[in-house]
Amino acid sequence: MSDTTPILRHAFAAVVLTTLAALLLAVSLMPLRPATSGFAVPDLVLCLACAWALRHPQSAPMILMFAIGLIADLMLGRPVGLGALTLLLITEVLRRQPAGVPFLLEWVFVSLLILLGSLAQLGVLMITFAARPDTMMVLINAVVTALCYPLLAGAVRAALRIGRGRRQTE
Amino acid sequence: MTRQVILGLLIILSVALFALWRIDNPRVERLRMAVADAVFPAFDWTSRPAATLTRMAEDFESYVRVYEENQELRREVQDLRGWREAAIQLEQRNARLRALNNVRLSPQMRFVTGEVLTDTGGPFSQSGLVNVGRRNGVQDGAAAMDGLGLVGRVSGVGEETSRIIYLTDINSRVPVVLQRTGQRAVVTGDNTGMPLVQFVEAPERVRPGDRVMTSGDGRVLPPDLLVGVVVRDSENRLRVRPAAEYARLEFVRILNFRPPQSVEGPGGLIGAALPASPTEEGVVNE
Repeated sequence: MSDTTPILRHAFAAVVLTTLAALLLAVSLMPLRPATSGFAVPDLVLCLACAWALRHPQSAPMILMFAIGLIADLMLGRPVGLGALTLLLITEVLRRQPAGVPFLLEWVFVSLLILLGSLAQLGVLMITFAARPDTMMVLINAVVTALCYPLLAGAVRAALRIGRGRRQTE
Repeated sequence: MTRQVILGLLIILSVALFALWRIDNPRVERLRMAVADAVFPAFDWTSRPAATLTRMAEDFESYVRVYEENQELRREVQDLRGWREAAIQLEQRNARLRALNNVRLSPQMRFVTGEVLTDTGGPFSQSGLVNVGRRNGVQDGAAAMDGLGLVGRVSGVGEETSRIIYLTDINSRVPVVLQRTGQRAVVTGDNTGMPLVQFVEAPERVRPGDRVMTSGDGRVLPPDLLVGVVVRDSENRLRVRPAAEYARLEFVRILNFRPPQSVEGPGGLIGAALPASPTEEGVVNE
């Protein structure tokens, strides 16, 4: 019995992750009309995936991350598969990082990865001669996404703390 | 070990999906619409509060500057009175001329109106999801308008949803005609609020403020829909300021337009096309 509980707990955490991702996707899809105003739109789902992979990698299997990335690609009208691959690779890198790094350092590292991911996507689109967004715009978007990261890291921490609290009271 | 295998498989899968997207876009677009159709009920409860919130914010804003707005509206009414007079005169003249010419107008276009459920911004795509689909007679490629101007084009139809790519999307190309000079051009989205006007023959003859209408070339969009007016940007490139108001896009009309049939060759009554040879002339005269 004692070794089924962590599995159950991880499954529960995975459900929480999926729900959060769905919520963020719904938020990004809300018709608040920033679509054409030239505002940068942060990739909240990517932030969530990064924060989660760093804090609770056991409950975020690769397949789940990939599925989240793919659904986001399909819903947000991005090149299909490209966003999912970026998300998968970034979270794989983050998964291997040791825990307990100061938050500032973590933020810088995640921001670099997000920036690198955006540039890699641009590169792939360039190689395949696909319609390619303006480089400047992609960079601004990556920066805004990175700026949103602490917000989601906080949310993930809160969600995981609630989970832990529950466990202790049980 | 198994982790690496799974990772490798997922990477191959995503590369394959990307390749499929690049090669067979319509099929992937259909998949996209299938996903949208499946999750469509979930957006009903996000789009409504969001629309309400936006409207409340706008209403509040208009409260703050009600006086200026009043003045502005007065000026506009004054302006419009003049225009109305002009329009009435023109209409009468038009009717007279039409009566003289016995013109047959193309049948009125029909449309369905849908509510915008979601819209996605960002560097990769600028599109919206509307709650009408194949069941309501929406066709792929149909033009979408707000009350005034062209919003974009339907680029994917599900059973009860359809995706509209806006004029500002990087994949959007719309053949247009610049009204004053009659030059043909293509309006190309670049993810900014004002798409570029490209392939103009004599750009120096184009003046900011010229009206841009669809030309109907390419037989996807109907001709003579208002797109916007020409502006020049800081780098002296021609752009178009869309007439459609994307900032308060709530309902869109999707036009049901069938391109006019072209006449090719003589009809069956006259007989098969003759081989073009001038030597037969004598035979014909008999």
